[in-house]
Amino acid sequence: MPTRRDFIKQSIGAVSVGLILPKSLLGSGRAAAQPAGGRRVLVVFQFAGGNDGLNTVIPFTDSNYQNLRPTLAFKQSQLVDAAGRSTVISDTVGLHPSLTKFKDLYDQGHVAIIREVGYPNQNDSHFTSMDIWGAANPEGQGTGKGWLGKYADLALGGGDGLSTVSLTSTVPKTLTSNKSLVTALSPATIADFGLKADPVYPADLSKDIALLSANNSRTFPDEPLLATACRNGLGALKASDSVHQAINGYHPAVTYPTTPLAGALQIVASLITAVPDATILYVTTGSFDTHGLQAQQHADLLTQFSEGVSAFYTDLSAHNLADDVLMLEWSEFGRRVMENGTKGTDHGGASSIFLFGNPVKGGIYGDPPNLTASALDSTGNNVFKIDFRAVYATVLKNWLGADPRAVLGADFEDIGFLG
Amino acid sequence: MDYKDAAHLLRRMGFGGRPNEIQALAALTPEAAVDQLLNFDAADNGKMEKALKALIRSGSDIFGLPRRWWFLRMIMTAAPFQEKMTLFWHNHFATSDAKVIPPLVPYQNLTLRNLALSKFDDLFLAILQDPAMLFYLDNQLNTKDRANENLGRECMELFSMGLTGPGAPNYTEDDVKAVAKALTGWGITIVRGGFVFNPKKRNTWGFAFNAGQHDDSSKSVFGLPPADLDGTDIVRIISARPATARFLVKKLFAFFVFPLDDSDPGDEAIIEQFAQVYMDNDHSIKEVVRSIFTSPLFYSDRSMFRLMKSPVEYIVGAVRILNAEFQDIGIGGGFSTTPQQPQQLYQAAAAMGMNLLAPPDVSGWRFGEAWLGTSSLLARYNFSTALMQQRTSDPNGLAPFVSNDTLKLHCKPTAADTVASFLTLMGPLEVDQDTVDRLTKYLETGAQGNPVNFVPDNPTIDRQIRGLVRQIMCLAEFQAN
Repeated sequence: MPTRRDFIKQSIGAVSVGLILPKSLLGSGRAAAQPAGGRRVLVVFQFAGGNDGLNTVIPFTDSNYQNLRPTLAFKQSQLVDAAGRSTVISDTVGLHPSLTKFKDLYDQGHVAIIREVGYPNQNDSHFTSMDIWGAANPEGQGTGKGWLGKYADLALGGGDGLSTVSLTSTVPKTLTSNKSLVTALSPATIADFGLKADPVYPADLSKDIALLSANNSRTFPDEPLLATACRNGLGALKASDSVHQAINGYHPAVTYPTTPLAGALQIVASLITAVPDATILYVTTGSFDTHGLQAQQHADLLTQFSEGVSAFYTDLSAHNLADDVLMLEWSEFGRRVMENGTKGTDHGGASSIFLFGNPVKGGIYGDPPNLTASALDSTGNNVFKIDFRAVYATVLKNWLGADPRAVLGADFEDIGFLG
Repeated sequence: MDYKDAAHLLRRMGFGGRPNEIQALAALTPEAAVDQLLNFDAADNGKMEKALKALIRSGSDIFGLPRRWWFLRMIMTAAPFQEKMTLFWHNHFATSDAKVIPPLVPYQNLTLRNLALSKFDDLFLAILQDPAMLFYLDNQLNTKDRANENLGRECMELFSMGLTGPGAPNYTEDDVKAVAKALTGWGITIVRGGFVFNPKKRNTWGFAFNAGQHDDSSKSVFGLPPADLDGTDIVRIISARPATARFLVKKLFAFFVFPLDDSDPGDEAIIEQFAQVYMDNDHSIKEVVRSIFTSPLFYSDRSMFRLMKSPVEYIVGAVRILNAEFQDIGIGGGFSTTPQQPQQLYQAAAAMGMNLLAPPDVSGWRFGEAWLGTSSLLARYNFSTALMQQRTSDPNGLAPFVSNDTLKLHCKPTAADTVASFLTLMGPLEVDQDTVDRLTKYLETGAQGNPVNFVPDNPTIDRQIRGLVRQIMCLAEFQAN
């Protein structure tokens, strides 16, 4: 399959005529902010720890890649899954063999691969770089609220507290907001997501909930932490019934794998199905911080991703929701081109990320990595060519129907993987 | 010092306490109170040590036992600041047994506790030569031929200096490479010796210097003249950097006082002031924290109740404040939030987002607002129910319980006075009058919303007072520290 370089260049040329919604359409509830005709859900996958993009979307014909990674590089002959099926997707590019089920989605045109994504003056700290991606703020080193939290503040109403949900025990940077309720729903403790009664006096539960709700209705304008405790406490009480109804009433159309990621995706599917307001959902998986003995760890993680996504996609399709759900995968950076002495890779630079689901126009976007010595930075990392904020801007504009500038503070090119 | 300040001191330097403990501190000058909490080696912990031994004899769960052991320490100790500092360092030198083979992380915990108030250099070196960290950050794979930067980077980013100082980076990528090289050959090996959590075991892990894997080439860090540096040199050099003093002050303040913003000139002056204490006192952690806890900043409005309790502080604090009883052998067993799902204290903390000995990553836990997610708050609410639903010693397990007799000690003849009494016990908390009125009405209302006469008798204590304690534990104000 040819790459989409030409297409990209055209798109970049067309930035200035991109559709920008007037601000008056924002902030007045989801129905107004989201484009008419169909629901628009975004599921975000965070690959925590720095995913090795070069061993995810593999430039197997690149001699620099082969030479710099004596034990970790995949040769074309190795790009086959356990059943002997090739995971090569073009003359020069293959997917990691563990992504075999994900490749089925790619072959159906439902995966957009964006290559060499990053940002200027990349920070090599996991935590700062995660914050930078989360807040979409390289200039401010990741300070401020999250880009999807800001989107939620602009466009998503209160509902029953389930318009923005993270399947984690704490709210990730990306979803931190100024006023919207973001529900953290830890899959491990979801059975306890609801207020329990003293078993000796179960009849007191409604009295307890009433008082707790009244106490949590206080606002604390000068004390943001107490205000958050009240807002989230009230939201939790409101959301807990809906969560259990969603989960208990849900019948998955497939058997999900038993991995934590797949378990989280099944809950995501139940929420999307049962809660009409559910719009932004977030899962995380890792650790991709493969400094040593990378091959097995990376293969295991990508297998979990590939098989989890495959089940999730099939399930969504069976519920007639596959057209309504866009998925975005990101990681805070890639890994160094040259492997280290411990069959692993240290913190790297630009990386490939995936946008997938029925809404995307599948294919490869962006130039292949340039791994020649002179093209690498002083640390030996490949240099970004597409700013990650352009990916966000494309999603905001063409999927969520929001003004990218209102969220990102600046204009970025439309990469063209949507609409 | 007044009662409110003494309670604040005990919450921050410990986990909060009972009125008699707070009154004992309040009888001292602020300096003497801090001194008493700092000099914890003098505390008599015989009862706790006996309980810890019994706990170790009773169990063999390599993941659960060390967590129960630490919770029991935090709840029983007469030296609460020792445990609080250990918690600080566990978060600072975050290491997780989700990756590291057991029992290295609990073993590291002993080192953190032993050196909690040492010269920083000594603790830093001990942790870099501790098998848990060497394993966690892959340094056993860091060799002469190919350096692995994982430990070298975090040595500077997370353990000592942080990324940037005022306006400039504290180190470069070349420094990361040089420090990684200096640490080559630092690995782990099996050594003879028993282990506190498994005394019968004959072998454990220890530090090993593999000279053949050490890169003894000349290295330069921070623009200093090149030399054959190894890990001990790196510890010495980094510990003496002003950036390290500043970074530690910022972390100590964020954990014990309030977060500082080094882009603010006023805060910048605070950072410099306490960093100077570190430099002037031979990097003594004890003197830095002494200066912090005796500073007026510690008792300022910006500090009082402006931190959020971490899950461990929430749980241990409630158990201590309410004078919960438990069998000597330990905490856990039958403790449950639901009858179907027995849960131990450490599991309750994990449900709130803080699985002790397994921080989410090497940067530790996110504090403050991060504790207040919906799942975490519900876990707190349900812990209040779990703690209050246990009325007597559980014959099948070891759950802490608060008896009606214990609760009766804090009851007053009227509903309003009883609410005031419990708000004082559990803080003292300052709560707006509307909320006080709602809590009072709760005591005067039956399950059907019918008015009832408040009489602090046993049935009322068993029902309404337990409900009142639950509701106070759920108040936003009680989440604050």
